[in-house]
Amino acid sequence: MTKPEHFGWQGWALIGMLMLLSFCSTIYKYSEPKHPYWDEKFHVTSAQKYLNNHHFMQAHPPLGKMLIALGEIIVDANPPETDARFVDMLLIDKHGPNFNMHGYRLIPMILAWLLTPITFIIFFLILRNRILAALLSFVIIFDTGLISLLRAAVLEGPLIFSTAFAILAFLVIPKYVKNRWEFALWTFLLGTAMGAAFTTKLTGLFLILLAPLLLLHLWPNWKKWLIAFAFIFAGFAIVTVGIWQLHFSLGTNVNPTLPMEGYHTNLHEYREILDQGKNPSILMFPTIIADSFKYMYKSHTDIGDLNLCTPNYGGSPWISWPLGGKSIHFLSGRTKGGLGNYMYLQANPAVWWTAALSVFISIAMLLGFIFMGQKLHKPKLLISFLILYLGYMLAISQISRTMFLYHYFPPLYVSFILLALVINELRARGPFKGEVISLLCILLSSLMVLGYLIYRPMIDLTPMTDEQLKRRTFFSLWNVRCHKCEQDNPYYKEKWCNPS
Amino acid sequence: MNSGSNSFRNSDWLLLGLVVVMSCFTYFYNYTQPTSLYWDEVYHVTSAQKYLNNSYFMELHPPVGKLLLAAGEKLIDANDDELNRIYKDTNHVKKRVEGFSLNGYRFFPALLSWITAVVLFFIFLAITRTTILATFFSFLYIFDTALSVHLPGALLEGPMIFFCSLSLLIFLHIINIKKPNIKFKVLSFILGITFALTFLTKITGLFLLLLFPILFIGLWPKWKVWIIGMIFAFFGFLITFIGVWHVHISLGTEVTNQGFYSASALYKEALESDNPIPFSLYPTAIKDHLKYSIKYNDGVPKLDMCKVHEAGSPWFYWPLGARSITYAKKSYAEDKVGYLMFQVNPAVWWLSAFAVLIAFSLLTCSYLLGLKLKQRFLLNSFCILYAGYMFGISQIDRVMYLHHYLLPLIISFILAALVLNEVKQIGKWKFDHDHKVFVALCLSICIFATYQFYKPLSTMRPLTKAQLEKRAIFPLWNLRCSGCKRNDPFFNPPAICKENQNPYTNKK
Repeated sequence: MTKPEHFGWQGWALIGMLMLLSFCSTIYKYSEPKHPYWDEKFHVTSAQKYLNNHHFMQAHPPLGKMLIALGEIIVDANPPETDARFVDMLLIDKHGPNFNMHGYRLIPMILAWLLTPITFIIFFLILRNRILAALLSFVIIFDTGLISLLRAAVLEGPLIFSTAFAILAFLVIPKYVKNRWEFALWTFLLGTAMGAAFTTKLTGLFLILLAPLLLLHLWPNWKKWLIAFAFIFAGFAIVTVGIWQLHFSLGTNVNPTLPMEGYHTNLHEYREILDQGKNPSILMFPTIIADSFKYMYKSHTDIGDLNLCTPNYGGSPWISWPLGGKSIHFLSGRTKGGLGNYMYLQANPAVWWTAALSVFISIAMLLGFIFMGQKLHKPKLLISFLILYLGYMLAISQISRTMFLYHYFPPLYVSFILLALVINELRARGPFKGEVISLLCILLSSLMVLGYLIYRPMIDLTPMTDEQLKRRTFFSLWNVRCHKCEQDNPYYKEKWCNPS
Repeated sequence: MNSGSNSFRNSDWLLLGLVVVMSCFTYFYNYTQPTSLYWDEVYHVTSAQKYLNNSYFMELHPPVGKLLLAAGEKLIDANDDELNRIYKDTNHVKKRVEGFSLNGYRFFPALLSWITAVVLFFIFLAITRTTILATFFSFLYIFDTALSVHLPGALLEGPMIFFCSLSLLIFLHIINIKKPNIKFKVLSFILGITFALTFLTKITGLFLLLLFPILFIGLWPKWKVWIIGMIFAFFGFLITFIGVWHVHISLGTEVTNQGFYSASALYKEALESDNPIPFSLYPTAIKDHLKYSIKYNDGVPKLDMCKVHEAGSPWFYWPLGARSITYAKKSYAEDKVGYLMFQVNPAVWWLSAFAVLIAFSLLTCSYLLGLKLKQRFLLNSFCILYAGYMFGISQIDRVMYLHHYLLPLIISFILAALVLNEVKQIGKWKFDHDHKVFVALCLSICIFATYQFYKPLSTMRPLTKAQLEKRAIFPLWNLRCSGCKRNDPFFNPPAICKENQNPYTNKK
């Protein structure tokens, strides 16, 4: 293995270059399409409720939607009446001609952009090689699946950013065991990132696994771990309580056009709190948060179980996710010339399949470690991230409600880390020379760019013939079909019928 | 027998005897039950009757399996001539005639599936070099509920698994010879025969063709030895191939109401004449049979997981034993139902699936991290066979069933033995021979216990709804009581539905 490199100015220069690439692939024209799509139709209505101080409850925790609203405050892209247009709705059916998405998408877009440097730093911490870390960062920059959703006014951008930041903190903490202040700072930051993920989407809760996993890295210094745990808990609690408290404080007006006369609850006690304007009071916090969680639970159960034999609007089983199945249809249409244009959540197979393969190789290495005593360079990290990946997948597999391909984004990000760890093991323990590993990384990153170029038209409404679409979507589990075409897939046979 | 020694001691004979006795109880004893026909027996018995009555016919599958069914009936003579003619003019038994016995038709599949236990014992012995471990590994085969229901039936899988296992055993012996002596030549010749018999029982047996390039790698750099072996294997294959088709063609002399199927003009002409089919016409006849088989296969529906009574399943479900197939059921008093199911013993199938995972993992570590393995070549070989079969199957879009996994399942048993042979430790706990025996013993007890638990599903023992549900521990199996709603985690076709507008197609 070659000598570990220092980050140096070259590291910052590479970050600059990667951010430029990321700008071109992800950020440029982020306001296209000029109307809300997919879950933006829900989240923009929520953001407008924050902007107009309306009380509401929703299926997801507040942070992501607050950030969407914050972007609109910063950019101020729409006049106040437009920013109040959807307050009476839970879901946007139509959008007005003057509606501008610049502001609502701003913060998710910035966080998606910042994901690139964070990922680069994570890869550098694992590989200690700037070029390899930069090449592997292409997984973020050139994945069509992530790009199609992370820059939108939805929750996945903040969620994945929090996940990445938590992982960065997790990697940094063991390096500061002997440095009291830095140790406290990074453990606290890990807690805040975990809190941010959890207050964005409930699935972000999987990051709490990082707290016990930290023990593995600090062992046998369990006292240090107890201190770390205290700081993590403090960061987590402050963010979680703070965000929810902010949410309750902002919702001062009850809008009677919304469900249950605008209260979203039948709980008499909560209604009284709202009527008396006591909701900003911290004393009311336990009552109203319990009711909010009840509402969230009910919202998720109302979604219904996954059934691939009936219309499920893009839902897919978790087992198909690592291979990118099934793609989510956001928008499609036909040009006057008869060409189709599409906006799908379409995985770049070069990225997703490489990531899936690294999960398998990581498991293989771990089994070799357990059963054959195979020496590994960073076994603790490999074990930690495999537990994180498998923990998420195991939990998701227990959920019967319809889930979607983007629910795989958090473990996908973890599988990118596993990719870096696999490359690191190959460098450190494998029989390959450094040049071979570099060539492998160049090959992988080239394939990722190629995959991006091929699949980009499927996420930005570029007109194409049915044949061009068919050539791209060779994998049946993706279930992509041309606009108004019949479904011909052995696994997805949605029967458009009403059970009666 | 201890590792390193080749002599067979009394205790080894005792263990072999134990395998013979145990497998007799699970595969041969009571093979005549149930008395009714189940699953594809309804097709294969009609084919066997055509052989018994010299009726000309073509069918999806090659002849060996069906010839064996007919040979069993000829040998046992369980039915009178009239009963043995009763289904010859149909392709599918719709109703079993009273008094019709399956004892003869099932004889060879049951006998061969019993002997397979012994063949597998010797395969495990060749790998582990100890009879005690070979005995424990034989439990994987002996106490699997799915295998013990399916293989003794008048079906093709029993003979196919036997011929396949025999091929693998011979392969394991050939690979150690490495010089063109008489033993090498004889074994190569027999390998050609057993390969041909596997492939002439079911086309899926063709995957064993992979053994020959694998042998080339195993014998490298002695490529001349390989060529000699190939010549002998080819002769074995050719003789068997021609012999089997000769028997099939020469038996089919009378054209029944089923007609000529897709025979070419030349073949038709020969069938219509009173003379036997000339040898020169065999290539045409065989080609016509193969064409019919391909045409038949093309007509088989595709897998449709949303069909209410779909018994098929996607190939990637199979290693976990999904989805179970209900062969027969019978209602009893007190709302009890007896089931005959192709239901896996999860201890066997999941252990085997885990062994496959570990086998591929060890190879990955070997190639990527330079991990040293004792039997890398064999691990490679059986992983190639497993992956080759699964890849081939994944390319087929017609509906396939869980029993199409039986061949790779047998390979995965062998991988389990290879894996246990390789394992050096579990975590920090060093793993010597005694530990391996202890672990194998524990797993065997577990296999036997789960076999007992799932056995009622293979013997039609009356069960209440609750008793069945207790056994349905894995949702993908789709194991459900008679008349109960499907509760699959992914695919649940609506029972009644009214066509509605499809928003994608705008078609009614």
